Amino acid sequence: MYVIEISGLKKRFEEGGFCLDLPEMRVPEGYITGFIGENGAGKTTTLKLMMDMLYPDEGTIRILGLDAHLQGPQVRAQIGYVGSTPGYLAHATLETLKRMHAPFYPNWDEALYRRFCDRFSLDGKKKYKDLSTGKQKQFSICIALSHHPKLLLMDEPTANLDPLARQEILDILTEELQREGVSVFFSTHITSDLDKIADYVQFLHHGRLLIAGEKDRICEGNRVVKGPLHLLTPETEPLFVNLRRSEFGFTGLTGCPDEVFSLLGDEAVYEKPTVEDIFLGYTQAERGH
Amino acid sequence: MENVKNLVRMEGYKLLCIRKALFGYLALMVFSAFAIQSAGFFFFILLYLLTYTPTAYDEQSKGEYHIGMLPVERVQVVQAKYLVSLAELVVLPLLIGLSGGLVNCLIEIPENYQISFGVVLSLFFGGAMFVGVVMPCLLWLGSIRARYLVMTIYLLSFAGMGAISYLDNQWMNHIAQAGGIWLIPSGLAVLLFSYAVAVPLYRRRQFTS
Repeated sequence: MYVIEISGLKKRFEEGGFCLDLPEMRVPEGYITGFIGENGAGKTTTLKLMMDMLYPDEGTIRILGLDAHLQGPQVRAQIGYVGSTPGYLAHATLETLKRMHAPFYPNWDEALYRRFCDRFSLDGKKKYKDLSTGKQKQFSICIALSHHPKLLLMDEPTANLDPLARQEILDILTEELQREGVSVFFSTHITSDLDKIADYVQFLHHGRLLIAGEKDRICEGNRVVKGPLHLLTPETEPLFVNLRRSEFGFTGLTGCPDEVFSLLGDEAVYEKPTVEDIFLGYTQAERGH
Repeated sequence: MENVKNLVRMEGYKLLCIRKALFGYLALMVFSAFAIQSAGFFFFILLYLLTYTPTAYDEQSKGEYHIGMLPVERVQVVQAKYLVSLAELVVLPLLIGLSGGLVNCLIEIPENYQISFGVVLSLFFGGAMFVGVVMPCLLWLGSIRARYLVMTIYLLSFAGMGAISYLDNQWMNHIAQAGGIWLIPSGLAVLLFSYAVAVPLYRRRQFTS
């Protein structure tokens, strides 16, 4: 079962010459899926298309089995959304913002909201504009989770946060997933967040999906190989996704570790890649480095 | 209907954020209601503030993203905006009429300056014309992209009012005499037509940064 199913999606922006092109993308239910890409890769555009703030030129997005464009309100009723720009009235207090937001959700859970506020030490009398970036983000998460959403969509939830605030948000996501079975889809360019909590990853580059799948399987299926330069031959070089040479040797990412091992043997060092290694490797390969 | 009610309440909260400025102009409008011209002047300033400011606040705080995440139809957002405007168009002229009537009871005002029921009707109709033109522009383009257009409409209305007042300082009464009670359905028709234009424009709008 998939919570998000995208097919044949295209969105063009004439001004910047950017085109988001997602022939197929699926997000599994009940897991945390990280959506990674460099700035301008199309992550926010994809999320806005899911929320029906932007309209696709072609293709469809189905969320929780419903058409995100044609059945927008029914879809959004089941989503907790934390946008990079949440759009809360800056001069309003948190209590006022909650009063503005809560009546739209029949499932609003006031006790749960209070619990989140206590956990994040959010004072309802404070104005939104007077909160730090981290607190603003935490408030957005409180609001997004307090109506028991089935799907949590988040756009760069940990951007510009200190490590402590970031960890707290990641903890909340993991707990919510365990307690309520919420599916989480979040965009980021902080790859260490994905290493910590993501079950699935989707790599976006220049509006196209480069790799998608289970994080552990992707990491297992790739290796960072280090070795002396003489090991690089016309036979071995094509087996690497990307290569960096220095006077001490080479470092490269390979998607076929068994084949590379059979050719290079113990003379090279093999390391399990991080999400960042894989992301950098494949995007650099795309750029022709 | 519940969603529209909640959206109307949201508009109310936005207006509360500018309550100091609003109450100032409201007080001026009420206290100046002994004379047609000054009441009309403050009525249009207040109407401009009430119409433009919530949208400007939305744009400043990127409020369209907040509305965009809510489980509401675009048409409901438009309905809420027009309902709030309609309430303002009813309440403000009535306030002017009531305070004008009260002033007339307390002190003797020359007949040429008195605020009649006709003036209340004229203000409603004039306000409906203003909202009817401005609201679709704001909903379609947003307050930043529409600001020059809105400002031009506003200044033209003001200049027009000044010029007409110079030629005929009883013009509001004359409009009321000509239109009579029909100014109410005419104003409503203007708003209804404007709403019909605004709905597809707002539905088409996409929220890019």
